[in-house]
Amino acid sequence: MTATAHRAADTLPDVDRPSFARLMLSEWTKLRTVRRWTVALLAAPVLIILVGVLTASSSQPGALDSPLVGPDGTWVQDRFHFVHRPLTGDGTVTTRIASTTLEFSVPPEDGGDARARDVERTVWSKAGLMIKDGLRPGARYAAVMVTPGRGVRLQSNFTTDIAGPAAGAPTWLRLTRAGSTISAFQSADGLSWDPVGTVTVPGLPQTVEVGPFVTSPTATLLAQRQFGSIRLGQYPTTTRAVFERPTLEPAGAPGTGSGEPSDGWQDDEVDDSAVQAGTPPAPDRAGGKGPQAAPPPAVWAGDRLTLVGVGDIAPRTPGEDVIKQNLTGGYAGLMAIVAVAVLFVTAEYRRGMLRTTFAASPGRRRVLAAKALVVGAVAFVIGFTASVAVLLITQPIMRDNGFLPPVYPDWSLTDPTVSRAIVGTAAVLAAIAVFSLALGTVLRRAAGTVAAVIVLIVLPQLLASGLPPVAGQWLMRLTPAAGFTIQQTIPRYDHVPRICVPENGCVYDQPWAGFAVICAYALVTMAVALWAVQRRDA
Amino acid sequence: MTIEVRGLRKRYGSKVAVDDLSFTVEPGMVTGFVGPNGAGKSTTMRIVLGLDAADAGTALVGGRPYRTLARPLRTVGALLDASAVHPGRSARNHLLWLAQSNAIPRRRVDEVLDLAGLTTVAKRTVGGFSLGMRQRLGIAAALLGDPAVIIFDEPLNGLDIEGIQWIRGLLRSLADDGRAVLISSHLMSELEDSADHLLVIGRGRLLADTTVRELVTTASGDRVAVRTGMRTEAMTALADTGALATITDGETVTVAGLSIERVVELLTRRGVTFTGVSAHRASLEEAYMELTRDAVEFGTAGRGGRAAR
Repeated sequence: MTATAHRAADTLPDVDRPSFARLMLSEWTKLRTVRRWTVALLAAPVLIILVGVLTASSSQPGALDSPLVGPDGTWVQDRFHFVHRPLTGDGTVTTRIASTTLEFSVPPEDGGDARARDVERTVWSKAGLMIKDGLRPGARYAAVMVTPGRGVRLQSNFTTDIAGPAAGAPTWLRLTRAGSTISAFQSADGLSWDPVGTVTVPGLPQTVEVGPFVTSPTATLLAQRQFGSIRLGQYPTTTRAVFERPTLEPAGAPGTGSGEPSDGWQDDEVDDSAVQAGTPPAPDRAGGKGPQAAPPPAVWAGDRLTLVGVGDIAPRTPGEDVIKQNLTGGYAGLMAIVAVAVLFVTAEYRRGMLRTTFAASPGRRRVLAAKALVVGAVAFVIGFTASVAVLLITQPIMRDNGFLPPVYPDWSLTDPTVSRAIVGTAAVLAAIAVFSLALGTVLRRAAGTVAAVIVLIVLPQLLASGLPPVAGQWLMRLTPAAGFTIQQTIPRYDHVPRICVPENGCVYDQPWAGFAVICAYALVTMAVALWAVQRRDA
Repeated sequence: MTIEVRGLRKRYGSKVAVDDLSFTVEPGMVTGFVGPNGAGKSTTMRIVLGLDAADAGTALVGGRPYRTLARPLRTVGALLDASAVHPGRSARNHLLWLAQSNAIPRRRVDEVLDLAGLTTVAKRTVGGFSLGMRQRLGIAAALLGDPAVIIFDEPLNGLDIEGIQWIRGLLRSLADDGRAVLISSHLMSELEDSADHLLVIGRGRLLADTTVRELVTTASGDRVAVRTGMRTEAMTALADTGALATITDGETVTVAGLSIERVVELLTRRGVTFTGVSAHRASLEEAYMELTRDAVEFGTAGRGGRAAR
């Protein structure tokens, strides 16, 4: 080459910046060409699968009490006191609820009055009118009810819950059937009626049982905790409701013809624990004290009906989240991912390689963004494939171990909750990888960064069980591991109270809320890192 | 294409690394950037490459700040630290990611490997490379984009004779291609045979911007060496005139600022006998030593001092 030849090259216009994709390709080449990193990255899915399989092999379902199912196959409980009469075809049932009284006792060592208020606040006792497909527990129904503190509700088939006016006893309630459509109304005076809502109960037969009902569940509350253990307080409740003038139109078949207001109404206790003739009585998962004794029979005084109820009409959920449990390996896998993500940037600082990098690509923020995207994408792919693999491997193991419907419903990878858990696990690993990389950029030291990330993720798990429940929960909520709440697949029902023990994974109700936390960590740290690389001398 | 540095200043905490530095590196020649350790050579190079931000002044490559170059490897090839490679990565892969980041075709990687004589070890990890092989890899990386401007920081450091000769030949041919070549060293002897132009720097300041020949001529000045057995008497005779006389070895006294005739006259008048008087010709090394005497950062125990002896 001659001098003139090179001068000609000088006059070439400075071409465009290489595309961001090229920068990512360059960073990907860096990541895949260090053998130690590749080995660590391959170890991540192996760890995820191994831990998942070990967990699955050693897990046994809790004692199965009543595997009663609702109309849609959901695991439910169905116990209440029901005063009813048959209705054939369409009709309307109306009553006034004069009063409801919640009765329970709290032992003084559990906190007395304060605890009593907790029970009142938590318990979903129900008193109102019901239309049900016969007296069999688990049968289809729709019901309008008053609840302590949660107003008037319209519920059907266990899982549907519609909030109505915020009224309580005394109040008028009305339930109207038109085919499979059931509408509920509430009135203060029995004259002007406000709609509560309308539900469809498909498959309701021509003749149904209708009438007043009362039920009152056992409240379960966190009672006490010592380091590493938790005691749950069980407070069985009873609800006494006074109904006035329950009337059905059309009245249907008369009873004995005595002309009394009670004429034609039958008194029954619908009890799911009674129908499980074949099953030995097992303690309730939440209770441990066995089913409550049947309440006293209904009492009529003129047109006033006093009804005492125990039990609950609600969906049940298992204590173990099978999917979340089998994805526990995510914690093990992320250690390898964190290490590589941190080294991916601190190795450059340590050896002055960053100067080579920034001399080749002066757009430092672009470089860091490309690094983050590459390491995040790799973590995502690892998390995704390992999650799919571990769930497919553990599914038959769990079935063999007795995790069977209805308590543990069958699932497939394409179920929305399962897909969310899989994609979520991958996304959490990606976010943690980006967070690690960003923190490594800020701190510029491998050992310190890896230690910081691991402590931030693991320590809260250990501390949470030793702290007061509220403090433990907030610790879990505000640290990156909150992201794993996205693995929750057990349905949450707003109308079913839940005890929340942070170390059992009860961190956020909303799976995405925890994911938002880790994303916030990643984004904020990344913003600091982007600011730092631009400002600092390389 | 040139490198233009104007009024550059940089301090790290209370330490001034570069102090009002201005120079131009012209194309078609090898410019040596020389100064004792800690004189600010590497700092200046890092500022030119947009790695460190200057507190004041400008550093332009081809009239533009480095950081505005879209594909800088195609304009500037730099070797700052031969050890700045991940030891777990192969030579080829190190060059590959660099090429990808600047949209340089993949075949160019093999070309520069061949140019640097690394083809046979291209797939070996850099961790097992000798310093000389790493220097070659660093140079291969610098040449990836066929740049018009070359910046090498201490390229001869730790090389064997064969390596030094290879780099000298390479620098010459790069300059002959019309490229601007800037190489730094703390040893003048390393640059003596390779540099066309010299930038001497000490404590962050430019001490000389000159050619090799000019530097030697200026520095030798009017110094006179006297060979004598009566060193003390000679010193006294010469010092009385206010001239600076130094004992340079066992039998020699060197004096600056006096002509050879005046020296002979002074010595004769005081009766100092001498066996020889000569106008002293300084070596480049001595000239450099004199320039940087006050600027030696780490004292005379440093390599700069020892090399000048």
